[in-house]
Amino acid sequence: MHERTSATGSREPDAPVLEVTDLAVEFMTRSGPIRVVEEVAFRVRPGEIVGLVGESGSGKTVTMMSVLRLVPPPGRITAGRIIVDGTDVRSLSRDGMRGLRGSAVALIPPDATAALNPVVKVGDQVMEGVRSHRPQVSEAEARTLALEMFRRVGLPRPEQRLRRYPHELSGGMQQRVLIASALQMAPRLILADEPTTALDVTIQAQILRLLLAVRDEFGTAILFVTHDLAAVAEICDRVLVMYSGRLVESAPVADLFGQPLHPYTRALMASIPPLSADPPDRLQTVAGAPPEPGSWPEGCRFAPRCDLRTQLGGPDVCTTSQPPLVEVRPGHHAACHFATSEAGVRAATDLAATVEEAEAVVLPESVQPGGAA
Amino acid sequence: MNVIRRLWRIRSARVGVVLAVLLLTTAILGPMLLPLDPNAIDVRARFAGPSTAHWLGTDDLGRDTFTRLVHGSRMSLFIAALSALLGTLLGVTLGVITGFLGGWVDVAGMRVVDLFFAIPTLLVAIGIVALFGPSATTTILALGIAYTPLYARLVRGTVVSVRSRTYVDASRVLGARGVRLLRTDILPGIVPIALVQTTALLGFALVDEASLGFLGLGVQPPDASWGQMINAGRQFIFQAPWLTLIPGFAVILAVFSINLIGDGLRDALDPRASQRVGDT
Amino acid sequence: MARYALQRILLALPLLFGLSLLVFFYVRIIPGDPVTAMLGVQANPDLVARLRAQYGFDEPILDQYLMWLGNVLQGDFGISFRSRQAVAPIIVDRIPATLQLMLGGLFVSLVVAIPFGIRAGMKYRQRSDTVISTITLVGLGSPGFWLGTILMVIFALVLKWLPSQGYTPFTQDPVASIRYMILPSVAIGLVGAPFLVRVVRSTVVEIMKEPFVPYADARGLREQVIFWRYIIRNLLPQFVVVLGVLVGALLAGSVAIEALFNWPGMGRIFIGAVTERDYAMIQALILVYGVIFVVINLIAEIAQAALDPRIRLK
Repeated sequence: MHERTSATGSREPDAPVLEVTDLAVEFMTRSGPIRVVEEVAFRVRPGEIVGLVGESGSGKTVTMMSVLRLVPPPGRITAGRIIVDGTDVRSLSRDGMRGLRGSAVALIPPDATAALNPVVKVGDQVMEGVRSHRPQVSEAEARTLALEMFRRVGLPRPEQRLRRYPHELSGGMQQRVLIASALQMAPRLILADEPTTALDVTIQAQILRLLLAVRDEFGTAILFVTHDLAAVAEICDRVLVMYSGRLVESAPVADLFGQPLHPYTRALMASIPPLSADPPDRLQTVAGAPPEPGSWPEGCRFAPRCDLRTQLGGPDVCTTSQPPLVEVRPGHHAACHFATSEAGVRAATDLAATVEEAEAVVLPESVQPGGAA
Repeated sequence: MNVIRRLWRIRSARVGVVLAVLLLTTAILGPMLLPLDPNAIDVRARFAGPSTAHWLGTDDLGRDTFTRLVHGSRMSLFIAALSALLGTLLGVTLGVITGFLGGWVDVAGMRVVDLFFAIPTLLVAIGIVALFGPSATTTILALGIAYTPLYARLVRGTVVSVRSRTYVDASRVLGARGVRLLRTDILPGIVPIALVQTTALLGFALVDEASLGFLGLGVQPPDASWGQMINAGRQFIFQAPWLTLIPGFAVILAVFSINLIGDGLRDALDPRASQRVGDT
Repeated sequence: MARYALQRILLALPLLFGLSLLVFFYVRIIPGDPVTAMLGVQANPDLVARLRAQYGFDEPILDQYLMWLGNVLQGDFGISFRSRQAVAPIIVDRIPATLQLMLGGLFVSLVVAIPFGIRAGMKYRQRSDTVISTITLVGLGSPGFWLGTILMVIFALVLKWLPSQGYTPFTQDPVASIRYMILPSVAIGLVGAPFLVRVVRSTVVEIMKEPFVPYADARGLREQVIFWRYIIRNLLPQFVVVLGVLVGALLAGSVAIEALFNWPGMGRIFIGAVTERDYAMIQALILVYGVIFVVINLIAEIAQAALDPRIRLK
C-alpha cells in the first residue's frame, strides 16, 4: 500500500511536492478576460500542511483547482508554472492529467454530501477510483484496499459501510469516505477545499484531527484551503493569505499569528470571535467589501479597506504602486509598503496579544496527531 | 414591465413574439381583408393548383385554400386561446382554493385531480366531447376542463409553498389574514408560474384542437379550422397535397412560436435564468 | 424495496376505485339521460322506457353503481348501446393492437430521444444543443396524425416500401405485423420524442451541475465511468418516471394514429363510440385506458425506486 504511485519525474527527497510560480488565471467574459488570480507563487514540501486563506472571491479555490487543471469555465490558466512532484502540470496531455488527478494529487471537496454520487454505494465509488487508475487491479483487491482505507480513516464497521449509499451516512462519515478515497492511491499531495465547512463543529474538529493523522501516517502534504483561521492555527505548518487574487502574506503559522505583517491578515484575525468569558464590546469585521474581480483598484488592492493606511494619513504610494511580496523577516513574506513601519509593527504586536488570549479559549486541546478521531 | 423587457432580450423569444404577432394579425385582420368567401363553392375550379387567383390553390369544392386557411387560423387560435384561458381560470381557482384552505377541501380537491390524472388529457377531452356533441364550443370546454387538473396541482403547490413561507414571515406578524394574504402574497406568487403554464397550454391546445378536428370531433364543416382542414385534405393527398401540408405547417409554426415565447418567459422569470434550463 | 412497491400498489387501489366512480358518474351527467341522448327526443317512449329498465337507469343510483362495479370486476362492462353486443370482448380484442402500437411508439421515441437528449444536455448552450433544441421545438408542434399522413404518402404510397394501412397480429405473422406497425409507430413515436428530448436534456443539464461530476473529474475517473456511472445512472430514475407520463401522451396520440392507419385498436372503436354516443362503450374504454395508464405509472414509480436508493427508503 505504501508504494508511491507517482512515476512522474525525478525528484530529490526534499524537493517540493508542489511548486507554483507566477500563476495567473483569467475568466473569459464577453467584455474581455478578467484576471482573478495573478503572480501567485508558493511551494508545498513533502508532509507539510499549508493553509491557503482568504475571503470568498479571493481566488484561493481557483488557485487550488489550477493544480488539477480543473478551473471551472470560463476560467483559464494563462500564465505560470505548476510543478507537482516533478511533473509540469500545464504541459501534460489530457490522459496524463487524468492519470495525475486522484493519484499523485487527491482532492477533498467541501461538501461531501454533494460530492458523492447519490445512486451508487460508497464502497463502489471508492473502488472505482483505483480501478480507473489501475485497470489491472481486480475487484477483490480494490475492495480489500477500500476496506483498509475505511478502517484507517476511522469508519466503524467498514464492511457494512462499504455497502451503504451516501445518504445512509452522516456528514462526518461521508467526509471520511472521501478522505479514504483520496488516500487509497497514496497521493503525494492532498488538496483539501474547505473540508469541514459543511459539518457540525464537533465533527469539524474530528476531521481536522484526521487530516493531521493522515499527514503523520502517510507523509502526505496537504494544501488546506479555508477561510477559517482557527482551523489553520490548529493544523497548518505554514499559511498563505490571499486577497483579491494575489498572495499578500506567507509565513510559518507561529510567525503569522505571532506577528501578522499585512493589515489584511490582521483584519482577518481581529474578526475571529474570541470565546472568552467576556465577549468583546463589538465584534470586528473587515470593514467594506472586497473589490469585484476585474475592477481591482490601482496600487495595493487592499488600500480602500486598509486601517493602517488610514492611520498613516493615506499615503499615495498605496494607490499608485502595487506592493510586491517580499521577505520581510526570514521565511515571512508580506506584500505591504508599510509592513515594517512603526505603526504596522505596533498593530501587529497588539493584535497578537489579544489573539493569543483568545486562542487559549478557542483552541484548548492540543492536537493529538494520529489520535482516534 | 421588467419581464417583458427581459423577454425581449432573449433572441429566440423575440423570434417567437414576432411570429405570434404576425399570426395573430393575420387571424384577426385577415378575414376582413380577404375578398373571397371561405365557403364559396366553385366546382369548376376544384383542386386548382396555386395561382394568382388562388394563392394556395383550391380544395375539392373549389373553395380558396388561402382564404380558408386564414379563417381557419382565426378559428384555431380563438379556440386555443379560449381553452387555455378556461383551463387557467379553472386551474387557478381550484389550485388557490385547495392550497389556501387546506384541510379536507385540499384533500378532496386533490383526490379528484388525481383521478383526472389517471386518464390522458386528450382522452378526457374526447370523453367530454362525447357528452355535448362536437362543435367549436365543446372543443373549448373539453380542452379547458382537460387542462385543469395539471394546472390546479401546479398552482396548489405554489400556494402551499408561498403560504408556508409567508406564515413564518412578516405577513403573519403584521396580522395579514385571509383575503388580504391572498391578494398581497399568494396571487403575486402565482403569476410567474401561471404565465409560463398558460403559454404552454396555448401550445397544447393548438395541437389538441387539430387532433379533435382531425378526428371529426372538433370544429364541424363547413367551418374551417387547421385540424379540420388537415382531415378534409387527407382524402385528396395526391390530387392536392397542399390541402394537408399547409394547415399542418400552420399548426407547427404557431406552436413553435408559442414555445419560443414560453421558454423565453421561463428564463425571463427565473432569477437564475442565465444557467438554467426549464423542464417540460 | 418490496415494502415500497407494496405501499405504492396499495396507494393505487383507491385511485382505481375513484376512477370507477368517475367513469360511472360520467354517463349520469349527460343532459337528460343516456337513452334519450342516444335515441333522440322524438324516440318511441316505450322503447326509451324499455331500454332505461334494461340498463337499470330506474334503480337508485347507489344500487346502479354497485351492480355496475360488481359486473365490471367480473369482466362484464355491459352491453353496447348500438350493437347490443357485450362491450368487454370487443375491447379485449382491441387491446393487443393498441399495446403493440404503444410499444412501437415508445421504442421510436426512446431511440430518437435518448441520444439527442443526452447530447443536447451535455453540450448545453453549445451549437449541437441549439440545433437539437430548435428541431425539438418544431417537433413539439407537429401533430402526429399530420406526420403520419406525410409518412404514409412518402413511404407507402410513393415509395411503396411499406403497407399504408392495416394490421396483422404479431402471433400470426411477426414479419408482416412489424411491417404494418412501422409507419404508425414512427408517427406516434415522433410525437413523443420531442417531449422526451426536452426532459432528458434538462435532466442531464441538472446532473452536470451536481458537484459530484466535477469531483469525479478531479479523481481522474475515466470518461466512460463518468458518463455511465454518474450521468446516465443518475438520469435513469427520473427517466423511467417520465416514461410513465410519455405513455399517457402516446395513448392519447394513438387514437388519431389508429384512425389514420386503420389500426384496429381501442382508439378506432373509441372514436366510433363517441360519434355514435355509445356510452356503455365509451365508459368501458375510458376505464381501460385509465387502468393501463395507472398500471404503467405504478410500474414506473416502482422502477424509479429500484433505481434510486433515496426514494426507496422514504
